Amino acid sequence: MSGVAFNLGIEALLAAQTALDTVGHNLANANTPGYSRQNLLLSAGPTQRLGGRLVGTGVRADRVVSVRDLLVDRRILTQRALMGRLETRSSAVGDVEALLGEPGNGSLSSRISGFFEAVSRLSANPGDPVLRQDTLRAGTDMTERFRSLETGFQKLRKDAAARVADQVSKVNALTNDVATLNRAIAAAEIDGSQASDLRDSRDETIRKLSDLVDVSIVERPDGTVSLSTRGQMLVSGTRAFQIESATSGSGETILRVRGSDQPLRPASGSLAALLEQVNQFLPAQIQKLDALAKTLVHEANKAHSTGVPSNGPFRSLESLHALSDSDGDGSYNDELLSRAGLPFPIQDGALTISVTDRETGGVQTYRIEIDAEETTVGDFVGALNAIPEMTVVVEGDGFLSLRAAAGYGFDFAPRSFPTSGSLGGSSVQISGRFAGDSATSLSFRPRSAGDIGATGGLLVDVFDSNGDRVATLDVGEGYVPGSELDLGNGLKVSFGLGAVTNADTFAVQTAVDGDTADVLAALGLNSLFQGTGAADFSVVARVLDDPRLFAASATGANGDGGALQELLAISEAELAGLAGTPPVQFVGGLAADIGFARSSAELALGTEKALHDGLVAQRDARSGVNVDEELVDMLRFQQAYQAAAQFLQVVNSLNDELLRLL
Amino acid sequence: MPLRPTHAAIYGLVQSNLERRLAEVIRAQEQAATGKRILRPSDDPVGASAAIDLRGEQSRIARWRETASVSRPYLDAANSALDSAQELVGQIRALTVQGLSATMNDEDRRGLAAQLESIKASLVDAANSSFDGKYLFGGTVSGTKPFHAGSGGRVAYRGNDGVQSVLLGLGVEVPINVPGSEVFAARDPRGLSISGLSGVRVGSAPSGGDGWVSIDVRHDATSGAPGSGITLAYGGSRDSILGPRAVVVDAEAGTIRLGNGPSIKLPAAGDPAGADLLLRDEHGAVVHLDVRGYDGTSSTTTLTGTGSIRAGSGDYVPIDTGATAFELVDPSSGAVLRVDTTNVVRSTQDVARFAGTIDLFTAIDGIIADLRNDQGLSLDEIQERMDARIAELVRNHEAVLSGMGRAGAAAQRLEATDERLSNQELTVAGRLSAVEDVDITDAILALTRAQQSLELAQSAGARLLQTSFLDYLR
Repeated sequence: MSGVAFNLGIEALLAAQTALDTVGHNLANANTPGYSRQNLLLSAGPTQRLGGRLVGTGVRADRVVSVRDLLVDRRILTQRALMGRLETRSSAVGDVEALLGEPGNGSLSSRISGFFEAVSRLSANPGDPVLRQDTLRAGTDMTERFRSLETGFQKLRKDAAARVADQVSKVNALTNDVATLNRAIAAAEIDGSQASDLRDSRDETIRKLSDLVDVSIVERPDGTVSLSTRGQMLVSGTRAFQIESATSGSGETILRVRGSDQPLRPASGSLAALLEQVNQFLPAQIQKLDALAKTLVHEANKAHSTGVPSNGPFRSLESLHALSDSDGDGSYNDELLSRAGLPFPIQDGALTISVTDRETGGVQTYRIEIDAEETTVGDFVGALNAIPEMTVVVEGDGFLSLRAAAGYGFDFAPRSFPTSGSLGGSSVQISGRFAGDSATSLSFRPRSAGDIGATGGLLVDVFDSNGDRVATLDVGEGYVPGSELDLGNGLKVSFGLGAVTNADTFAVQTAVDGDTADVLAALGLNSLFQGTGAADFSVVARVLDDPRLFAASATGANGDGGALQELLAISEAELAGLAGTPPVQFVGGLAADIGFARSSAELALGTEKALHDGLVAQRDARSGVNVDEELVDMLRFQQAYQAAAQFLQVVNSLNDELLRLL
Repeated sequence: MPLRPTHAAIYGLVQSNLERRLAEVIRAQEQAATGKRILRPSDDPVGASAAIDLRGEQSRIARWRETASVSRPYLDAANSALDSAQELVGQIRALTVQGLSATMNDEDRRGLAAQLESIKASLVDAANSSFDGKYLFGGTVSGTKPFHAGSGGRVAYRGNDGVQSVLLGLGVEVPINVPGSEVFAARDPRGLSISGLSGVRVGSAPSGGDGWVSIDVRHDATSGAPGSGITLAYGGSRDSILGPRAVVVDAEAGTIRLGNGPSIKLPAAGDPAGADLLLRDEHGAVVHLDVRGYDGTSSTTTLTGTGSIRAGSGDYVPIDTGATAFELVDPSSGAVLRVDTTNVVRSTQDVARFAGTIDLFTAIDGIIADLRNDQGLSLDEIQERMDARIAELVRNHEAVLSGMGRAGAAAQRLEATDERLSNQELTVAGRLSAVEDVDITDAILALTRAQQSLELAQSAGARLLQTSFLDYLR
């Protein structure tokens, strides 16, 4: 009997001790992340037939198991990967948002507004050198803001790429750890026991990995797990596959498993967010910024290029953009002007060029038709050189150089000028600035023959290009030859002495824009801004150095602000390059997009975090350590230990009693 | 399954609750401190975009208002300059009328002319008014003096007739200048007129040109011999008569006259004054005669002056006294004059005016010249010529007044626009505030609430964390 009893007592003592050890282990790990509470499985010992009776042999401490819910654990991993992505995205977009600084003073939108404000101020007194300087300063502020934003975005992109590299090495360290733990678990569990603590630490490693990249887990019978991302193996049994980051041909940062040429594209985890930031989000913002800068450069230059500086027409001009010899035959002349490597498009239209005699102030206006599909560089330069007072050459490096003969100057202001025919012996002069909406050709036809200023009832009809009569002028008796008659739309006409017949016709081309082909902006002639993106957006140095070259005037008079009004129109215009929005609204849209990206990331993060917290609560409810519960267990097993000890003492004293009998 | 709480979960819960409450406090504090609901686009992307748009709108309105207020002084200065100009022109009109009074003698008129001269100088100053370095009446040529007083007091306009305007709203263009060409040199073409002192008249064929062109009529020689022993002094080289003119010697009265001019006493024989006796006819043309050899008889003879004529800087050509459309070309201005030279009577300088193209200053110059009367005209002649000149003066006076009206109307438009814009600005500011700003009461309430819930979470958490079974073990 005593043999059984002693054994039974010792088993009970040992079981209570092991249970207390487990409680202690649980209590000690109450705050260990990823720790799953362990339970000692107790069972009653086998019964023995003793004297025809079945007698229990006490308690058996079977094994220690950890309490876990694999499904919840997996879901937590998925959730952590999602959160990792959203957290990283939110903070990365937050960096962009902070850099943009909208809405606020000194932000891009206020700099753009500031420039237009200065232009508007200047329009009250276009000749004022102080206001000119101020406008150029505002322009410089605007371009600087563009440049600093672009630099900032590029830096964020570089930082994000560096973080990708950093996280890649973290992923590699973690997958190595998983592989190592796999080996240890397989070795420990070879006897069928459960290596709970090793599993816990492997789970925790996988959890950390999930923050970086989403993994799917397959557990094998030997206790090891395989990890894969989007079908690409990261860990297989005891072997870890390293990943690396590389730059693709298109400049994107890509991941791949070393030795594989398939790119690895994580769907969640902070790596996914960083890759998105590097490859999509930041490039998209930079592209928008570039589009805005390029559109502003182009639109402003279109307005400015046909203006006249306050110190009068140009003596010489150099283009800012070089032509390129795209067929490589050593000559620029055979290239189509519209495909000669210029940064801005050229369309069908005409360039108005006026040559002013500085001595007399006489102006001769010429018009060069440009067909985007036909006009070559040679045609264009030839047409310019056909103007007697102009010398135009394409320099060896592809830059265009325009020069007026001594005593002459040239400009590209919109001017109305005679195109064909004559009215008999009478010379017709057109003056004034055409204020109509679209350019037209006006033709003059006398109704009858007669002498200007002498023949009674001598009428001249004026027709527009549609053939509609826009005016009938009485230039007969009573008209003083040479005096101006109103043609409407700001134009005036005067007829000189002479005889006319009703067979005479005389045509005048009116102009609203001096360069409907946009060839000046494309070449960078008489430009205000230069650059083709945010990074190189700046005020042309030539204008900054000499504010008189700010071509505010549309007529050549230094108090005229015609070009300024064209510039101001940009601030309201629905610009094709900006999806049909004016510049400031475009910035608003940009800021809203960034704001949306962040707020939606944060909103989603909130939702995912709530889900995660719920899952963690579920996991904790099952696997977490409740200190009170452990304390109760501790008391229980303490008492069990005490009871077992008491039992042994009783058995011992019974034995002593028996021995005394002997 | 009933939830089995664990201590780690409780700690985590308390921690995350505290974090959340603290974030709320920070956010509420931020809103209350800045008064702004949107501090970054992610706070409310739609609102932020609207705020940027509204700020753009605000900046546009501010820009228009600022442009209006920057432009206003130019118009005010123009208005006051025009006001003083019109007053000066009024004075000139009054003085001119005064000068036509028969009670005035030549000296009085010369005095008036001097007065007009100084008023004209003030008028030129008014027309050259500048504000902030910008000449107000030069059209869009604002950097150079628009009215340039050249040699001989002629005032030339160097500006243009450009109207400078500013944009004060979408498509709202307000002019902020009145070109001097329309105020001081307003045109109203009607026809050519020639001052006609020399007898050159408007020809039968049309002329073409601009402003005024001087016509110089030069005396080349006098032919014919006066009777009664009288001879031409200086060989007839200093005379100014053109065409035939009678010299009538009246022995009975002892006088001599030229044409219908005043009779003057013949000096006594041997008087040295007789070596150069100046005779003047009714047109003011003169001949110099040597009457020392006067024989005491009466006689009527005819002297004929021949001469040449030119326009502006052209070459002199001999006068064809039979031409009714004698062509003169001024190469410098390009004007072509066709004049009637059949009645040319004396050498002098005439002015051909393309009427209605005469500017204020030229009109005043003409009045001054007439008042000075260097040509020795009679009062009647002066009055006759002045009528035309006064008509031009009145026309120019009206142009100045209408210019003033235009400047005033533009200033009013600026003011009205500014008022409209200031209302709009308030509306936009209100809308921006609605989008961007927090209601400060709400913000403070939210802050207090956030603080209270933080405190609540803290104290609840503290209590929860304190309780442990350990407290009751022994």
